[in-house]
Amino acid sequence: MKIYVHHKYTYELFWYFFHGVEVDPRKVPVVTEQNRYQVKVWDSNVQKIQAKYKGIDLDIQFVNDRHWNDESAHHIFDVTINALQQGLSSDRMFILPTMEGFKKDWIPFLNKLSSTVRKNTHILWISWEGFELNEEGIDVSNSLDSDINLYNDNIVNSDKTKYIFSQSFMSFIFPDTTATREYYFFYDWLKLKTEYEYKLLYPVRRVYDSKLHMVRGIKKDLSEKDTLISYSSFTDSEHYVWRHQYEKDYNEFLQYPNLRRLEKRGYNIEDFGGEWMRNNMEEGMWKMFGIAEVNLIHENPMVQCFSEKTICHILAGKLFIDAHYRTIQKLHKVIELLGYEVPSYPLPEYDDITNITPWLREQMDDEEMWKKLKEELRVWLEYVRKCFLESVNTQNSLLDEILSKKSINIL
Amino acid sequence: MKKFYIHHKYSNDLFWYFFHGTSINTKDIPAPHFTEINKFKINTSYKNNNICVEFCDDTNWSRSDGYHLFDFHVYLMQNNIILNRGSSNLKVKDFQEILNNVKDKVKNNKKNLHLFYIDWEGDFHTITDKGCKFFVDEINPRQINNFYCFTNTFLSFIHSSGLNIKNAYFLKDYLSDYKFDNRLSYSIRRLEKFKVDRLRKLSKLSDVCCTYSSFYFNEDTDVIRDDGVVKLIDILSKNKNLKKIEKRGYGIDDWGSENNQNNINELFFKILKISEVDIIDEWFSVNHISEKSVIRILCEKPILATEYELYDFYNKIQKKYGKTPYDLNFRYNSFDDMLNLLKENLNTDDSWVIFKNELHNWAKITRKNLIEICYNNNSYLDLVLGNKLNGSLNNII
Repeated sequence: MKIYVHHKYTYELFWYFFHGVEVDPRKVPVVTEQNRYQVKVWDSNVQKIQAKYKGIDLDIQFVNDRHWNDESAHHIFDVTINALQQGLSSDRMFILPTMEGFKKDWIPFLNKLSSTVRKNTHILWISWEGFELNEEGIDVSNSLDSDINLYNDNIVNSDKTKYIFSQSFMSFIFPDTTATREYYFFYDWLKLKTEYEYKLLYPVRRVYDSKLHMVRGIKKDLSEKDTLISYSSFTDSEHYVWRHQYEKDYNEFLQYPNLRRLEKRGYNIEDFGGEWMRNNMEEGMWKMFGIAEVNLIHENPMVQCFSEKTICHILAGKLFIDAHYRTIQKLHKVIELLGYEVPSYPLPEYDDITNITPWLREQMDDEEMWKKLKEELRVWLEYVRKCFLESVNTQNSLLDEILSKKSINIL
Repeated sequence: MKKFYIHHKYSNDLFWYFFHGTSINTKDIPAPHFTEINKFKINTSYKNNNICVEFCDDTNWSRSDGYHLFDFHVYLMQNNIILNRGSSNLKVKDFQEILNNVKDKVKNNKKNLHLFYIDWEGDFHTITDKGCKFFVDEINPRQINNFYCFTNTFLSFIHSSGLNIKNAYFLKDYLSDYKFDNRLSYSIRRLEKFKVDRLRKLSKLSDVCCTYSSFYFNEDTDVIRDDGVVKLIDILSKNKNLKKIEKRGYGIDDWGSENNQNNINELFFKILKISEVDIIDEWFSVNHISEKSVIRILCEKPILATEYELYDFYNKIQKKYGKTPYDLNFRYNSFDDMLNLLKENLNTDDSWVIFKNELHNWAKITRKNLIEICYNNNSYLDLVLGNKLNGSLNNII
């Protein structure tokens, strides 16, 4: 099977698209004539790699903008990777320039391809933001010819777009633009850490209404001695574009006692600089993972994808609970989709965590119960981590789709 | 008031690299987000001297009321020619052309042109140009117009390296809890003859884990393999103390090419975990410090240096800036001396703990002192504002 990837080559992109295949890593080129002196140079020459997936020989070719009219091949194009390679964005998080570039330059081009090519064309848009591709203002799936296959990182889609787990997961790792990959290796350092200041940390970067709701619950029911709420200096910096919109919430938040302000900007070595994704991820790893035994994270419950918050905790093996049970349900659904048995989760079911803060207080007040809960959380997390990592090393959602052409919306 | 024109695009990291030690309030130096800030001007002070710092990119070259600062590697990085300071040697051939270009821009004001050439390569690339003042990483400069700036060199690893070396500073908190499998390790990447010889001797000690990188044997490596070395490694690999670090793994474990960022990450996440004490080759014979010692000191990892000059150098730096260094209770004059010392101290658990603690104390005090030095001093500003650019060699050791 011939597969054209319509991007410039790097070995990181090979793993992003083709993890799970049978290949000798040493046959995946890393040094080419174009990047010999500048590793971040995307190689625009054709790079061919032979691999095998589920018994099928793959003739993988990174061809950049060549061969779009070849009807004998599958064509892969990733909207975000294109934005990266065009210099429109520096990571997956910046949607507007990415979307505008795609709609203006690519949709008309793709729609004009022959019917055979369109049917074999696979467009990926993994954004970690959870918007639907037919949403008003996005209007991608409804503008794109219906023959063309569209994939994203939403577990549920209301249109023809299909969910691909493995590329969604690997997008946090390769290309390594946000330092999320470092959390995977940080696992070894973190697992032996024993000294923590608190039992539970609720880290808030941006303060707004739903987070304020959690803070109220935490302050009402949990012990000050065992629980810390931190917030980022970013919240009152000019970098925060919604600062004024949430000023009331922020002012109320600041009234609570014993909050810890994490200064993004320190002197000299302690200066984490601008509010770039990579800076935030590194700040998170070095400053927020060493404070408490368990982190209470706050994924957006309204979206159907995972963000870097969940993924980095899983990669690092950092114990976490989520402000909303829906995140746990999403994780369990994916595990089920991957063919693994769904693990039991040690917390009772809740809508948001404030439903069970009295229960949590009981666990935290009793050292034996807290120890047991932590151990059960650790077992659960290790299992989730194992399932995800094992899966991306042996399975490939996009290739499964290409091979089967079946829809796998799972919820 | 002294003025400093910095001929690069502004970043908060570059401010710290050039002007650490000043009385600046961090809030007054912007950290760009979304909008790039190329130019930035601010007044501050350093040791009671008022100074004006102006990041002016490629403008203001003709101004005669201040010093003009230009760092070759920052220029190369900002122009996407190199990604990090460590790959500078590939661009040495461009040096003269860039230098001539800068000299042309500053015209008759060359006496105020301050050029930074900190490439972490020491004497390998000594600047011999006579026309201007160079701030270099050679500890004992060989040229009268070359000046060593310790704090700028040390912070070049953190603020203008492009290599995330800053992470080592934060890694310290995790190292103290880590349970290491080995007492000592000696890790080499490039299998040079003298290193393999050391590896051969060290691997005979049961408490030393020796590693080498698969890089040397990869098909796309740019090193010229030495058949003798390959043969020796083949023989040594039967020793259980010798391990190969695989650069190329599957998927997430693939460290890819032999670029500096990958190598630094491998060091962080693979090499530093191996043992309680790291044996390192810091090349004082070529007159400089490298990331090998800087990273270990930042994360407070005990080092056993194959060249004892490492301890002498860092201790002298601490004394120079009024700090009290930790004086080790041992000394050696050669690698073989070091080996004998090791054998003595590996004899019993007690002797090992005492020896290890001695090295840890050195790492701890050195880290603390060096960070304080870099927070309160600025070697470049000391030279300029202290009128020490008078043309005599400013030897440290």
